[in-house]
Amino acid sequence: MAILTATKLSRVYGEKTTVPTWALREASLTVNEGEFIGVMGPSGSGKTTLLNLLAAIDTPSSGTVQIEGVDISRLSDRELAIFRRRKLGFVFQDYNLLHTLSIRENIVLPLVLDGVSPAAIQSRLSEVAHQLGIQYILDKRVYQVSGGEQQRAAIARAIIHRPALILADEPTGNLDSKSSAGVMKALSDLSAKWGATILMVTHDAFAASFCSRILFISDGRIRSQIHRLGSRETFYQDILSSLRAQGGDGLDASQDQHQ
Amino acid sequence: MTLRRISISNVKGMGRKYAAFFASSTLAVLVFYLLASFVMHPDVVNGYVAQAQRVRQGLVVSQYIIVSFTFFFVLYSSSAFIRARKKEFGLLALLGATKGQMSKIIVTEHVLIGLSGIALGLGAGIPLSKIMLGAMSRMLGVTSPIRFMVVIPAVLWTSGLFFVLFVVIGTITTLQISPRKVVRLLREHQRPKVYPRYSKLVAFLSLLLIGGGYGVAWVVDGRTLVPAMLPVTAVVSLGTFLFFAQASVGILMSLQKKASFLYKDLNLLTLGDLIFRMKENARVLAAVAVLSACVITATGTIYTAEATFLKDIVMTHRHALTFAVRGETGAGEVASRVREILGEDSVKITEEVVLHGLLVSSQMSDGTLLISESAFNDWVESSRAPVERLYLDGDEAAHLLTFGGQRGADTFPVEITYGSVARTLNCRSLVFSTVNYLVPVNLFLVVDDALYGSLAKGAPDTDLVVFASYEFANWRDSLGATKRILAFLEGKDLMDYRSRVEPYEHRKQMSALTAMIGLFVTVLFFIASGSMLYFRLFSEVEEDREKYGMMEKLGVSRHEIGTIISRQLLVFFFAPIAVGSVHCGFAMKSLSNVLSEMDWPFLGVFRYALAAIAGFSLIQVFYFLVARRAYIREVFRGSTA
Repeated sequence: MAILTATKLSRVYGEKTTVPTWALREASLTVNEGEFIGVMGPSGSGKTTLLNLLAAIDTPSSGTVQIEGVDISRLSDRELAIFRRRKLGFVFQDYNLLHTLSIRENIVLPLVLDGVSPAAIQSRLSEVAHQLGIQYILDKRVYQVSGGEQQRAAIARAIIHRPALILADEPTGNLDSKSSAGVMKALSDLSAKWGATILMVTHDAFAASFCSRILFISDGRIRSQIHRLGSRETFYQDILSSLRAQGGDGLDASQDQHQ
Repeated sequence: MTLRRISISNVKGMGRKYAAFFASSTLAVLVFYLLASFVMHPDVVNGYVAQAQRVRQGLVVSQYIIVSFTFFFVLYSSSAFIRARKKEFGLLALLGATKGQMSKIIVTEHVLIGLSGIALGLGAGIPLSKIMLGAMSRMLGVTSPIRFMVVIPAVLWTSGLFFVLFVVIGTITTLQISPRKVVRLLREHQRPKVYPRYSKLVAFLSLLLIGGGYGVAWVVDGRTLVPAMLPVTAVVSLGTFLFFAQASVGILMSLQKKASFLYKDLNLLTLGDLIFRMKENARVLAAVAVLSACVITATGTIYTAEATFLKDIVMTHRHALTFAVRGETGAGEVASRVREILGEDSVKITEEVVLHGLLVSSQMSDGTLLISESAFNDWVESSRAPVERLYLDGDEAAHLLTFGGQRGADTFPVEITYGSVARTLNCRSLVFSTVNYLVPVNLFLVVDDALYGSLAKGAPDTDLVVFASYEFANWRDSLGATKRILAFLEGKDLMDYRSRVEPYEHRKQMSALTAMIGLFVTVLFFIASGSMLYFRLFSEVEEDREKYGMMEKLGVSRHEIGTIISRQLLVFFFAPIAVGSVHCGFAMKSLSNVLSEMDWPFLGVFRYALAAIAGFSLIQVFYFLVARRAYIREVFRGSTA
């Protein structure tokens, strides 16, 4: 079943100027339930624009986004807020945890905003903390835990309300390879074991190799896609060769994991 | 966890950022309560303390001022704070917080800060009001001091008013938040800053506006001061804003172009940041400069005015004590008792003018005192006064010009009546000018002994009046003696009296009160404006932390980073007060122009303004030291090295 359907999405900057910039041109895609999709492409290719449009952070110049059959551009401010808190989960490159709150408080935030009962919050919290293996840091402050732990806490926050779709923007961008592996393992487990639907933007081939399908994007267009058929290791090789086939500027991604 | 819990955690977690804001709000509550506890004190309200009525109005006005600038200060700080937290609210919006929920968080934060500010302000204000009431009682010279008590209406008013203020501002602040936009703001801070630009023309214009305003201020006089005041203030304010937005950038940039300056020690790093900082904060810097100028000028003017009042009192009282008593028979007793009382307080008499005479009516005054020629000459002999003896015949009379009186025609007729006798005297003015007149006795005529004798013969003792004037060497210490003399004279047949020390002391009390209240309000203003600057700084601390972290990696030592920060803060904190002081200097020049028409020297006026500037600079120095320490600590927080 399609969780997300994007149809002919375009985003133009500086429309009124003589040289408008097309950040995205007529991109269409469908994400099915339980899929773990990676979006790859060089810097400036339109990955983040695509993610922002799918998350209603940005408004498309043309085209539509439907999530679970709802056209998100037609929602009012309030409906959009409620839609976000129930249907979407976000994971960012820089974690975006609130420093004034403890890890526990950060994780339960979406449920608090939705007015869920304390008992239900408690049970959901212990469930996700267990899933991500972060029970031991719940009472710490944000600055007391490592980057990898912060990112896992951010993932816990992104899934605690069982969203229809988890959107991740370079989740391993700020992490070393060991923490990256941990975070990616957690995400792919969510997808494989718990049936979560994830769309992740990355230019890290290693992170991408955990996905079930990869879309390649450049110059604002979705150019190609590959499916994972065998093991993660072979998929990794497939991704690298696809990037190579895309041309030189795709290559920067495969080597530098640490920016 | 609830939304309220988020607000609580925010307030707790952002303690440092909130500290200045919180402290200033608390102080506003404290001062407001102090004034309210007096204004609403039952003893004052019920009129038991007569003297209090006079100052009440001034205090009420001060309260209005405090509330209105607290309002703007809190509003400004709140908006700045919310702007600095764009990212945080963007994140909340992304997690699905509705506008209502975000408003709730913001308003709750304001209520929390407001409530703790009110609690702490009242907690400190109530014990302090004891000291304040004591001081007020002393200054007002109230015999039984105003009772210390917790003034319930004042507590209710203070807490109610400030609570409403915080809720209203919290609500206004939430209007800034738009969930749809805020989501985009999530990435706002990553946008590169545009290098500031400035226009030479506008920079020049700013100097022209300020210079023009100064020029007018330099030449105004008493006639043009009032119409010129508002336009000049407006022009200079605009000039000041443009100065901070354009000229300051221009000056810094031209410094940047000079390689010899730029590459010297830390100037490269300091200047670059400072240019951005000046441009971004031009509005707040200009506002602080203009307001400082107004506050300093107001303070200087009030002190000058108070000093003028005191000088006036001294000038309009020729003698330290003047009185008129009916009855000649007791005159000797009065004179000796007065000397005795003065002796008790070791008040030294430097001049004594005692005139005995007969109180009659004339067409010029009902209180005409006739003095016999011989009595007058006797007094002239004994007093070493610079007056010559008089030789009068028949209807000749000498009119003794009183202090401040105007000499009229050389001779003029005076028709006097006493009982059934009416006579017309041919009067000439005598420059005497050494006594004050009193309301019931205000025309002094020296007449021929024969005339005086015929009128005074058979006159009742009550028509014979002793008019005495005294000058003391240490008249400022004569209050107690003066009061005792008056108590003694009340027992005699006292017509009227006039003393210099009483209005002087009264004025001094009022001046001290005005000064005290003025000090409250201005200190509050400077602390609030200081925290506004402090606040601006803290909204950028995260960017700075990254930036300085990077510098550290490049090999800039912590000590050097500290120096860079100090230099920037130095400019940030003292540029507005320096500009404000110069503005104030020209305003004081205007004031001195007006006063010099009244024989007031230029430097005298400046002394008060300089004292005010020095006082406020001191507050600013204190603020600078605290802010610098806190800021440097915050920049290095969480990093190890």
